[in-house]
Amino acid sequence: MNQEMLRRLVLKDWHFNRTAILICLGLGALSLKVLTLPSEGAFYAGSVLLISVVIGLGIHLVISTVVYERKHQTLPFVMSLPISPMEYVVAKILANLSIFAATWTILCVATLSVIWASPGLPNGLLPLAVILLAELFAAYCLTLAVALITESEGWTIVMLVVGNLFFNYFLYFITHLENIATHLQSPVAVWNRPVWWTLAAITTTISLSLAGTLVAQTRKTDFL
Amino acid sequence: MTDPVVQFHGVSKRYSHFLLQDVDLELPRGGIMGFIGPNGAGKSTVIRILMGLVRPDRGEVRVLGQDIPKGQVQAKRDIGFGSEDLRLYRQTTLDWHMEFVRSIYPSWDQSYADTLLRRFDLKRDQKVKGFSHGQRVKAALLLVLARRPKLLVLDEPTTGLDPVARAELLDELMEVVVDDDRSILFSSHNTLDVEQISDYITFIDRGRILATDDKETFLDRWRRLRLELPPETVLPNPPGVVSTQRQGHLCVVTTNQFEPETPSLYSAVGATVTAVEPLTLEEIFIATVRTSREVQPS
Repeated sequence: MNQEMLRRLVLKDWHFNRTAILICLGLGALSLKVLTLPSEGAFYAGSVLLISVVIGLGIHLVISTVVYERKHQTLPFVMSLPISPMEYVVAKILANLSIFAATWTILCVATLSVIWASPGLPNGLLPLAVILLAELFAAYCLTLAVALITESEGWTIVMLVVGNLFFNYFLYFITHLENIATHLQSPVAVWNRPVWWTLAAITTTISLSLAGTLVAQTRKTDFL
Repeated sequence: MTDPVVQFHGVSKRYSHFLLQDVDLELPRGGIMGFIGPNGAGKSTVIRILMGLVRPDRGEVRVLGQDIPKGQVQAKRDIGFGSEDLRLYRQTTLDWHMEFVRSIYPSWDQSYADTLLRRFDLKRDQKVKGFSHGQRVKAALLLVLARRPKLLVLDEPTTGLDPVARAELLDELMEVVVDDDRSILFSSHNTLDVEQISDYITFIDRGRILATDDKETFLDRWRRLRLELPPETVLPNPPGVVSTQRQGHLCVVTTNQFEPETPSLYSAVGATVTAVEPLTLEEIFIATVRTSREVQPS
């Protein structure tokens, strides 16, 4: 792998998305502030805003770094540089994961800290928060994989819609799962087997989507 | 002949509605090859294969001594690629692009880049989204030329440019090959551009190379003979006659194997050769495509 070129391409995507990252962090901080206000309505509003920020960041990154590179015809410029199609895909994965993971981690740590430190929010919410944020990470990776494999704006939008619909179903499912739901109002976080299995399934999904993207790239004969 | 910088041997690529068939192509070091074909002839496919972006089903490709696509990264260090559908990042400035490209290529020549900025009348701190089409093409060409690549590959670089911008671009290309070590392959359907600057010509149509040779040979071989014929004259049929159009006692013969003695073949049967005219590259191209399509209808 041409590490110097990978580094430059990753830095390019960081540079072009720096404003979006700052906006997401700002909105994330706002959502956490709202989350701690002493009312149930504020708690839900803060949660919805936080989830929307993470989803929005994922959509923005995939669209701006992958879909628009084809749509706005900047891909021929990038591919004229000394890189192979496989290195391009690796650079896109690294750029996307590093930007999303950095922002996601900050929001994740901040969310858990707020829940942990706020007297009005039970620590029993901690596992649920981790699971939901991890699911958003997995949905983002799947969308990125679809965008890179299909090279299609249409399929990427379909995946975004499916991912968001699935999140609603997942939220309902996980908050009604007996071994998780019964501990949500608990004063201590309960990290039981269903929580770990769910996180393991999410981690597997992330790994498979990224590995699948690389395997699909090795089988492609045409790139542009 | 020096080592070719581009070599295609028996390259084929099949798509559902298009077949690139047994392409053989060679561009000598220091040469400018004009790659002419109608829209959809396969020019861009050949160029994408050359750049390693499309893998051929069959055949061998070598560019600057590297096997393609395997050695594409190494080859692309010395290739400057420009394409009609290549765009720069709209949200940022030409200066950012120059810094970005400069950071990748040690061969970047800043003083030449500054010269091109002035010559092309480009503003380095202007965002790309404010550029006209001509400015975008010139900016992309600046980024390519200032790297001093050994091989320039340009896919329809003059499409959509006004005559002044086209002339500026062609002048710059001519200057590039003053250095004997640099070569250019550029595709176009504008035969005037190709005729102006190329020293090698390749015609492509429907995925097949129809003809490839140096420009002078092309232009020397093709002639149009205007004849006046006595009644009942039977014309000879020497090799290379592409078309014969008769109207009353007047006749026009087009040949692609003209020799100094060709007119005497017609005089010998009683015809009067009233004119021997050279053909423009466009006329040669059209005649070549028509002849090929008559022989091999789609």
